[in-house]
Amino acid sequence: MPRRWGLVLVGLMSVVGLSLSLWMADLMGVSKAYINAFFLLLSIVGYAVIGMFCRTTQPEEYFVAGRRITAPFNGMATAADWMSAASFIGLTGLLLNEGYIGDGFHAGGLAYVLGWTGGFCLLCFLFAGKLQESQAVTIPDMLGNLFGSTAVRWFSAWGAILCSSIYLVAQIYGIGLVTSMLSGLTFELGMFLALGGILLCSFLGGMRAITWTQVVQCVVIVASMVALAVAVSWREQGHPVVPAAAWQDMLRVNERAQEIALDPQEHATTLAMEQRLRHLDEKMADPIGAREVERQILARQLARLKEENASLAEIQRLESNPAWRDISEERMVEAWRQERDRIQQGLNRPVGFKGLQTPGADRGLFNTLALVFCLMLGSAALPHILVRSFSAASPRHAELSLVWALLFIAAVYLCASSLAVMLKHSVLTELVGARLDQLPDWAEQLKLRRLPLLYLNDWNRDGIVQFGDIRIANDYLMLAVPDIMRISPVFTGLIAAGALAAALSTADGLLLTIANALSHDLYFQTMKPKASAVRQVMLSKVLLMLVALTATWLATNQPVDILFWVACAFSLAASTFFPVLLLGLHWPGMSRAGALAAMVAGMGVSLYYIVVNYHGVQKYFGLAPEQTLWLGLEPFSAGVFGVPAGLLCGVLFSRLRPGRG
Amino acid sequence: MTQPDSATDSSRARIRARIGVLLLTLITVTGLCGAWWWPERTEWHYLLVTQAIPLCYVALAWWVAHRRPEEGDDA
Repeated sequence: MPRRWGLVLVGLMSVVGLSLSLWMADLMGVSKAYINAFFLLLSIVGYAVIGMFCRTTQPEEYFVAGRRITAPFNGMATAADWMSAASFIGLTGLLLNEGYIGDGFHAGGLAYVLGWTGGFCLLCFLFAGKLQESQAVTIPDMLGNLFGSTAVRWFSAWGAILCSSIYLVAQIYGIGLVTSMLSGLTFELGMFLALGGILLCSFLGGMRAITWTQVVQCVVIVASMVALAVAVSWREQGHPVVPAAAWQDMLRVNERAQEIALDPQEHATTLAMEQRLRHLDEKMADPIGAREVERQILARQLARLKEENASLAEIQRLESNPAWRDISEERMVEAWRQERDRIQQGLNRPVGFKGLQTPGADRGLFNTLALVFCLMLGSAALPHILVRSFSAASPRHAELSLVWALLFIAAVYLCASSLAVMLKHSVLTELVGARLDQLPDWAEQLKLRRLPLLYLNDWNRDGIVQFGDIRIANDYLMLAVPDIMRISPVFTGLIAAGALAAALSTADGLLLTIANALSHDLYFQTMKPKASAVRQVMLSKVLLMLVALTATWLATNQPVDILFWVACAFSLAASTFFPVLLLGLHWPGMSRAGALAAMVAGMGVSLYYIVVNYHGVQKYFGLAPEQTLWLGLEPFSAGVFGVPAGLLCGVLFSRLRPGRG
Repeated sequence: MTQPDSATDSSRARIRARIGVLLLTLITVTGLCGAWWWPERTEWHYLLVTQAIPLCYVALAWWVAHRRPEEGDDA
């Protein structure tokens, strides 16, 4: 036991020691790029070394880490497994841009904070102890044994693969962005470099290696977030009490938001944005005619610019107009639609943290409650989180480990939400009202990044930045916090190490879940039940590598909206697994037919709702969102329909065809 | 002697878990609806919803989990 705590201490001391040494390097003038690259490289090598030390070919060790992990360590591993790139680096930007209660239609940031934490209570109260008691290896294994059914095992294995794959692609995409943004490598190269780190952990040592890597990753995630929040708090208010500093900033944010709301130039900006919206609507109604008119105007403007010997950048800006380029009508309309969505989002964005809606119940509240429901039930039903109960030493340890996990996750979220307030304060006081030719240094840096985090558009052409002119990218804003708050660049490396740890730990857990579902549940338990233990582990390792490469290939091929896909994965997990687990573990009347019906109905309804509301599908079938949205709820809240469908079918089919097997 | 004690403990744990689910729902819905009914008070949204409620969840989870019967523990 002391040796295990020693590992945690070594992890913590390494983070502190490394940060101090790199801080000194920064003071001595070492380049920021070198500091970031050093943090990233050392993290990946460190995790790989732990993975190599924990390598195993014993099935009990490979699949469930020997079932002897005590509560604090299992809790740390669960927290790291759960804290993904989306939640670690996305939450601050999300709260900053969307505010707390949304815009009267979409869910605001509060839904994510409560949904992502409350789910662990549900898991602790309802499933953790009973899952550990089952002594199973995977969730399909547990369900297959519980109902004595190969069909239940097969379907739940495919369910686990589907939910985990969606989540995995989003994680790998996140890893690629973090590594490429901070190391200067290309996106694809950064992704494959990080993938090597993931594979070295999970391929060699399975759950045992992943558990101990995740323990260290949890230390890195929590330490980096807390250190950053304390440093920002110190910079802002001169003390290290983060909630107090954020509260002080929040009072100023509210005052500033009121001033901005009364500013006539802000009003002029809003009018200009609304005018552009109307113009885009007209163009989309008659794209061919609009293209001709716009081309003539552009031709005149380009001729004038060339006569005036304007800069190449200015000419290229005009030439990038979709109407000028020789693209299909479909792509041109799509470009206009995207611009329209961006402007609409800008108009709906709250200046402070307050939403735009009037007090009382509205569509936004229902969307928020729906999202909280899906995130909570999804957190309690994600297969890669559920399997952590199998590695706990006892049912009591399984439950207590979730209390530990929740403690670490809450620590990160308390800091993330405080950082959002302090960042908003900087944006409203330093950027809004600044002259466009005299922007704060951090704003220039954010604009010039390879993946820009800040876009400015002077809508009312007054040369001054209004709030409506600003568009800040949600994702990865966290990585720019040290620049915005003017604290040491060492924190950029530190937070990148934390982000990488979050993405790697989640990807590790997901990979293992997918590979085990394929090898253990779909192949060995149903096709080759007499295969040797060594053969089982070897096949799982081979499949793990294939899954990792496939997910990486998918992530490199098209941009991924990380938060959307993560929320969809939660809804699918909630719909597929929550009803069957709840009824199977707490209702003796649940039958084999009921279990299968619950999973098929839950997943079917959820999947249908997500797919039919997907933009590409709507375009293909000529559908409008009003036709396909049920109760006006957003597609990623599909679990609101999937979970009741699963519960209803579970009960109904259990009554019609009793018998558990 | 052990069996009735163990049965009582299990029954208490079950009841506590159910109370936990109810409290979780109550805290969450109250927090969110409160934020909707007083949309201007963002400083309280910050303090009560983003800071205090996650800590309440930790306390709630601990309250349910720490009293679980020790049976079956081997670690």
